[in-house]
Amino acid sequence: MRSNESGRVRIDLRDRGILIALVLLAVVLALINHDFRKPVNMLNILREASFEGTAAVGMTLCIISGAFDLSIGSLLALLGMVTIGEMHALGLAPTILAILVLGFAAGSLNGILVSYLRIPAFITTLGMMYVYKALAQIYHGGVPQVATNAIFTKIGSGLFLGVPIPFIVFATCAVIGTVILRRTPLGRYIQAIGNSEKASLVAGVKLNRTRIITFGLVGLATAIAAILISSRMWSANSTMKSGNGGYEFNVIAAVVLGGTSLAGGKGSIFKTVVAAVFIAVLKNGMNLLRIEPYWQYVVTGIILLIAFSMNGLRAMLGRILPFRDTQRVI
Amino acid sequence: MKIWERYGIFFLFLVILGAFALMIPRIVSPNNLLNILVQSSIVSIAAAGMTLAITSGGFDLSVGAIYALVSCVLGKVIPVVGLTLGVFTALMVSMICGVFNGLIITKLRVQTFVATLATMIIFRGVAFIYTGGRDVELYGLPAIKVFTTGRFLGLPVPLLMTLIVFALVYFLYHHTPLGLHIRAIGSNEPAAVTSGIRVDRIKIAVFVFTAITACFSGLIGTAQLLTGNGRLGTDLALQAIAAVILGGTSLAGGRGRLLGTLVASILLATIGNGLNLLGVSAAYQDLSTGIILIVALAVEGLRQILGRRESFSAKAVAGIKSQEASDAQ
Amino acid sequence: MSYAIEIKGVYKSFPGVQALTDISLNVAKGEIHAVVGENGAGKSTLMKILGGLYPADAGTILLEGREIAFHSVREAIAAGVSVIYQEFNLMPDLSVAENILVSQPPVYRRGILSKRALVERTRSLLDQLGIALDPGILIEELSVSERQVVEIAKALSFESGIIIMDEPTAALSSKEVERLYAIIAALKAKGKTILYITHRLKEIFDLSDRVTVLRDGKLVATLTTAETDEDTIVRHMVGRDKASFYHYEPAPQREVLLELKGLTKDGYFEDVSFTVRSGEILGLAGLIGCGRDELAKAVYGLLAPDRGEILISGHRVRIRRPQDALRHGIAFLAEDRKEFGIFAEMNVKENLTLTIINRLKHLFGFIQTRAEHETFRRYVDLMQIRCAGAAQRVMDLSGGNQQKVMLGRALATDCRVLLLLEPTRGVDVGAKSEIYTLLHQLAKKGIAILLASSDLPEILSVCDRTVVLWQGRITGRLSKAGMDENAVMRCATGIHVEAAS
Repeated sequence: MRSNESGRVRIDLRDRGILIALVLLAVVLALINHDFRKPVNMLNILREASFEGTAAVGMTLCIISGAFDLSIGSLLALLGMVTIGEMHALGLAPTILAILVLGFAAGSLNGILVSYLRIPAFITTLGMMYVYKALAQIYHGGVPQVATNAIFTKIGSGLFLGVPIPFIVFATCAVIGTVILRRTPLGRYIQAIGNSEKASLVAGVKLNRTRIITFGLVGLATAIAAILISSRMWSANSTMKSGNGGYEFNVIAAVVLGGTSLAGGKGSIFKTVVAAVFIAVLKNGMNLLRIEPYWQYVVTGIILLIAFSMNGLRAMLGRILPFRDTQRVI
Repeated sequence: MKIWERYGIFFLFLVILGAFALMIPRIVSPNNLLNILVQSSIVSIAAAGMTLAITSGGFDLSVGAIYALVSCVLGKVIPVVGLTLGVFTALMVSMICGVFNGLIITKLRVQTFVATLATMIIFRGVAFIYTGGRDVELYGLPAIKVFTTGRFLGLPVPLLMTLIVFALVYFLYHHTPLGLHIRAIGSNEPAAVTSGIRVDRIKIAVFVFTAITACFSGLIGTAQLLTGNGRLGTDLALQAIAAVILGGTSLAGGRGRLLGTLVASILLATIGNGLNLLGVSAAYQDLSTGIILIVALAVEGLRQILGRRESFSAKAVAGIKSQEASDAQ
Repeated sequence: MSYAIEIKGVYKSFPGVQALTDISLNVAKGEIHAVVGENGAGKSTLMKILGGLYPADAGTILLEGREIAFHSVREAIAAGVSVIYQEFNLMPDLSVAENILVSQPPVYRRGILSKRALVERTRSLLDQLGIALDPGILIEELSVSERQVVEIAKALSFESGIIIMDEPTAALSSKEVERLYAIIAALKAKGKTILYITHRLKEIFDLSDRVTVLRDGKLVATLTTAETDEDTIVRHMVGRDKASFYHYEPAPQREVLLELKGLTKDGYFEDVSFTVRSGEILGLAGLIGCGRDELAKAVYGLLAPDRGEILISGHRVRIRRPQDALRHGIAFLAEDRKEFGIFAEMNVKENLTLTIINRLKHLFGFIQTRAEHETFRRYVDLMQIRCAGAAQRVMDLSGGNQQKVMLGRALATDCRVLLLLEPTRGVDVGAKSEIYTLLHQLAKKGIAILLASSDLPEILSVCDRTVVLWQGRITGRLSKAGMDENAVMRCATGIHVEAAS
């Protein structure tokens, strides 16, 4: 994508970085491993990507607005357990509806604490993480809930028109999230706050309301993910998805990997989707290549590190090699 | 209102201890109090290092992973070279981890959050690879139990370690140029750079400190469990951060409250102990940790709001002219 | 004779602005040399070059005969130059002593910090300045004036031979100013060379040996203080070729839209009352720190006044946040667009429409693309914003165009009252005149405009009337006829104070 300033070319390459990485990775894996190429496998990858990806859609909005949410892992466990636990009594549809509402409310609570009580997001969500963790252990004594509703369990493992249902949900959330971000005033406000809180204040943006809704959306996305995951696992317990560093960290990693900066102000849900798929492809590929699980761990960490240090690496290279740098910000 | 900042956590501790004492008098028996102190030592020691990190304006999410790695190293190395060399090796390994963290953040300019997130994954992965994913047993090495049940000068070793670590960190913080510079960096990093402080080097040193404290925590924890594997310590980082924040250290940096960290950590252990004695499920311990964290900071936040008539932003907006305003631009 | 500082032919430019042109100046050792000029004259830029913040584009600078080219502030300090900026370089959580000696902390052997030496050295430094300050107090508890003392003590601790002060009295009370005078006298007694940037003529005559006047980035005159007077300096500061590309035409003025009655905010402005009519452009003039900006911010809800009233179209209104102001039809342009104005990573269209984006929705809450684009087109045409399209990032625009985007955003709210702070700061000449023409069109449409600016020609050519502030109070109300540079400057510097009405 060429334009007037030569700097533009490099920026665009970087913007498409994760997509290129995904394509490259997929192509390489497809060439060297024939199991990878099987359609069943591809669908599996999409399904697996959806479990963290769905929550990552909400988290992307949150990070664009300049905050992040550490409580989603525990919230996930709690909502998962409540979903299955109450389904006997309430039935499928009402339960799902209730969980979605609950998720949004939980998220909004974070938003209220951050906005009105001025507690930094780090600490608020850290505190709520402990609270949800506790609630998950208190709910029905922390006993893992096992799903019995046949339709419910189809959600996580089933296909619809050949596509895994979780992925359809994931994609739908991604589309809705993108629409919110790009086509609604709320989305503009989210970007504005992430860009500059002070300028947003001057421009008349309703800071508190925007933040509360944003956190609410994170909670909602987490609720959806909880439904998908507990359906897939046919069960839910208080420590689900807490391996590998924790659900919240994996979700945040996916968002940052996709290019959204933790500093806020800009980002793309599409790229988060790509990053989530990338991570799923990576895991799948390493499995198929029979790389030991523990090496997988290290490889994942190193790749994340390389991705996060792109800026720094480029800066280092820039000092060694003479690139024309059009990005001088005074 | 600054009273809360200075002494709040002490009051809170006394209140909670008092409340428990009313319900179970034996909680304040010397034996039990000693018990609490020992139980809190793992988090306390890690929190000491974390206090330095947060004072410098950063934090370290990978301490739990270093803890796990240390447990694996101990388990595999001690049978071969004995306790002393084994501990020494673990210390070296943890320091390498610290330097690694520091280099990534200072030279590659990766943000602290995602950097220590990634290294957390990497260190744990290394631990898994090193042990082949299996647990390493230390039952056959009773010598290591000195770190948990041992006594020295009449005090349990973990307690002694906690006191020594805090004394050392306190000394470093208040009586060395390094401590001064750590606070300077946390208070105003650009000014620190301008003042000629070697910010990068100090940041690396800070990460080495957090790694070392993670190692000591790992010594105690491994001795308690007599097992080493890569899955340990998943809560350590966040618990340490919680203790530091509760203790009054501000996340913004520049102001560390070591004593507060210690008290907060003991407070959290007290709650656990008390709930245990009451026969209440461990879940409520988490609940109270979370609620205390939020309430403590809500009070701080309310204080800020009520203490000023303008909104927070107006103060920033209306203040003394910024540099740009006086530019000839 | 060897000078402390010799500046020869220094040039400096920033994108779109030539900040310094061919500056040549000598300062003798031990001299107190004042540097004066309006905002934008180049004083700060020159000081920042001396202080090592950035290099000059061309020219030579010699310190005690040695040529220097600083690449960092540390190098400048090592060479003996300390700059005391308006925004201090202090660490709020550390004590006075710690701040002063942070780069050279005194130690016993084995690296242990000697707190006693820390306190003693600090006390001795403060004594040399004749100030008593508890070395153990944290910076955040100090007043501006006390922090300034700490900065000066820092400079002393570096044994800097050259101390540069940038508008040091901007935020000080008169008693504190007296104290600063004593400190400067003490510094001079120690043989320090002092460069002193100021607007305040009184200080020039109280303190300096010589004074240099800068105007539009050029050096107009260097005078010996004892041999000159206020009027001469003022004349050098403001006299310029009257190449006014804007043709003034008053708009028909109608009802009063904005009225302030006795508006007061302790510490910033006091008992301010005036009116602005529909069709009128009222200038708000004064020097840095006069309370002008804070006043405008109070009207917009960014600052809460302690006393007084604001009336819109005769109705008393309560404005506590910008949203209230917007609701009453007041729009605002901040003076620092980088910090309070632009959303750097967002594009031109988004920046333009942000404040009113809520009005551009469909039934279901989605943004109407066409309406948004029309808004974009309308304001781009109206303001003649030069950009590569709706999708261009605002941070890639020139300063002038960025400012136009800000203005467009404010206008898009269909405001009746427009508050502008330094609307043409950092804007090139061509864009300036376009903005002025636009303001005039807006006035004709009936908008009431309050223009707060430190750019004198701007005020003089664009405004129908001017209110001048000095230290938070109105010192002059000038009609069009009575508005000339000297009159405004005299009110702004406190020489002339209007009789209380």
